[in-house]
Amino acid sequence: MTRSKAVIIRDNIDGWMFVLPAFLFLLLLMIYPIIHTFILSFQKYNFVYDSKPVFVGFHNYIKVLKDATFKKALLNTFYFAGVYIPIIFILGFFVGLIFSRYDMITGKLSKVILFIPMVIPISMSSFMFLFMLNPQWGIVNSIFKDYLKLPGLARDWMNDTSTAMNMILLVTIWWRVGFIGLLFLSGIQAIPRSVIEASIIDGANAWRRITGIILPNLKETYMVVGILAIVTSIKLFAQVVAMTGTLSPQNAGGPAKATLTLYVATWKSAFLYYDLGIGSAMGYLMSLIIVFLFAVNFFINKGEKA
Amino acid sequence: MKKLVFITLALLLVFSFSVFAGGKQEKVSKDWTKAKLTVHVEAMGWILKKFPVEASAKKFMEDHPNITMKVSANADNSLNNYMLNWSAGNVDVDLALGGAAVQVAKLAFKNLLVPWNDFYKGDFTRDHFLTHVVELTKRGDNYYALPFMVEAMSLEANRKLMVEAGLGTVSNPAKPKTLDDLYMFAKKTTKGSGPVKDVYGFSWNFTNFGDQQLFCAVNDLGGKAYNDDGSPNMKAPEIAKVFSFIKRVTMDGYGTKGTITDTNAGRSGLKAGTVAIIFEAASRAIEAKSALGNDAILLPFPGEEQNGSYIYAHYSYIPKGTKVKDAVYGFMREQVLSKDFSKFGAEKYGKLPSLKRNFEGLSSDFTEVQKWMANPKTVGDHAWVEGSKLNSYIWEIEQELVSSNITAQQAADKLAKQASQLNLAVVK
Repeated sequence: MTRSKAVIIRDNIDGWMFVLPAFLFLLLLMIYPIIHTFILSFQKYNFVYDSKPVFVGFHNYIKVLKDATFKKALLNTFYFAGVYIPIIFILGFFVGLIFSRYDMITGKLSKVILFIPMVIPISMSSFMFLFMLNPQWGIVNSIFKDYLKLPGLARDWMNDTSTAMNMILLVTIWWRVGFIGLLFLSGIQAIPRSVIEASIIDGANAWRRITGIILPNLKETYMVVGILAIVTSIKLFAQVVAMTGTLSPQNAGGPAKATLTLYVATWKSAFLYYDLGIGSAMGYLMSLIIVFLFAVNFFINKGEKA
Repeated sequence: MKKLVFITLALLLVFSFSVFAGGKQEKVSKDWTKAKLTVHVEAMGWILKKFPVEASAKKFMEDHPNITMKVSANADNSLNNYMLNWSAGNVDVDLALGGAAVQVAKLAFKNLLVPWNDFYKGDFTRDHFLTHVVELTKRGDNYYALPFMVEAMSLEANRKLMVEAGLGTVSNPAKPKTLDDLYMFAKKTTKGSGPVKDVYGFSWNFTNFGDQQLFCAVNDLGGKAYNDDGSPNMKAPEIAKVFSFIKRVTMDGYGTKGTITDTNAGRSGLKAGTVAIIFEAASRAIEAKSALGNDAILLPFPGEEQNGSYIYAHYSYIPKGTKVKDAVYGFMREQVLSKDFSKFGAEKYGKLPSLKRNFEGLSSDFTEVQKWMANPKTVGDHAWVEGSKLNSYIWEIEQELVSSNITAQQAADKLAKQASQLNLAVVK
């Protein structure tokens, strides 16, 4: 027996009504901005000085791709991703491995400890590091100068182009390593105990167990960690603004653009200079990069568990 | 049941939209001295600290019992919140205090502000104010903002550190006459070894003052900071000279780079005794008296005594949509522009009055600054179409200068090239 469309709609009206508020919110706050931004990316529109947007085709994209600031931001973002992703994978794995081994001793406390940096807002953590890295009264230089008696190693960490981005890397790794470690811990704990025990009976040492059993069985974890690490890298924003532009948002990404990332550059274009067309084009280019990196991540980590 | 769920959801939706879309509705009589009304004043956080805004609002309420004053802080120093909210018609502020010319000009260009033309009458005609900072707000026939405080650029120094370094005496501290002198002052007052010093001789502000210092220095060195049409003269040969000084003093280890990530590092260092000389608003010296006492002194930047200073203001402005403009005028005339209000900001924090008559009776700390300000060669703040971008370019190039091998001349050429791609016409 087939039911008419009207009957189907009538029978499901409750469901539709429940979904409607969420759908409307999604439509208003996500789908509309996505479409509107896409249209804006093909228009010349300065929110302050242009009375209305003018269609300019791919001009914004061409302008952005030729722009030295965008190139610098792209380079910085890739540098960050290139250093952050391998480090967070390696450190996260070892944190997970260590806690899988000693979790019985430390109990739930270990997971709490791992999670503490995650629950502190990243802006707060960034300020904390900024204080510690202050060249004249920060604890880091104080350790070098007063305790280790190595004043030559003291640096102006955040005001030096050669060290500023690495300090942002440090904060981000500190912030994320516990959470990523927990993901690896879950992955390791999901491997059947019997497989590990069988390998021990077969005489496999710790190294063989890690390389032959644990690592090949973490492909799903790699996928998730990969996605999270890519998002953290490409969307790098709060740490940069907090550590370089709190009192002066225009300066975010300093010194001399050394920490300028794609996300910060996009935000500055759109919301400090009000170049909405350029900002939108940058946003879409950034999205394309994220999609590309997701695809690479998927390609590398696809396949069944060992 | 189904109908009940449907109606509840529909009502919820209507309610949420009405909350989002709801605006301020207030009917106000024409006579603000009699009508019952509320005036919402919003000021940048630092202004609430450095001026008695809340006490003035209270006094205004006592004088006008029909008026309720509400005072709040605007945490967004970039004024982005005003730009976005006011453009969308969400205006819940009647008077905003704080914002540089280049920022307020954007709000005016977007047609979001009520002109102050009819404010300037009686004891408050434009000639009663420091003229330049008023004229800067003229767009067409309208004046879109009112300056309520003024700053002037100069050197601020720790006299004790200078005297210890042999730079003059307590009663007669030495004054740098050239950039080489200033370099020598910085060198002599620097203490400590290694890459990070205990005391730095000099601090250039690589962010918030990066542009104002540059234009002030170009002017003081006898150069032409602005072209005849009011646009910045980015080809002035003095720019390379200033850049050369910044590079030398910083790369040689006598100037701190602390202001790159903390725009307040110079003034904090001056107060803490870890920086000897800074080049910022003169108010920093008055402010530093709380820590250094009379050892916090003002010095002219090389050439400032001959060529004047650089002055800029912070403005008050009224968003379109307010229904209480006349009451705001009343509050400005009776309170914000009063002698007491100005005196509080001036004597405690060095913020200078915009109204000329309010200089009378201020302490002698301001005598020198007044002289520099009164110099006809003194230059002032700017409001160019892409002024914010130019400021960023200047800060970035100054930071690059002290972080790379780029020479002063190369940096000046690069800046001139970048500036040539911007629209730097005066906002009209």
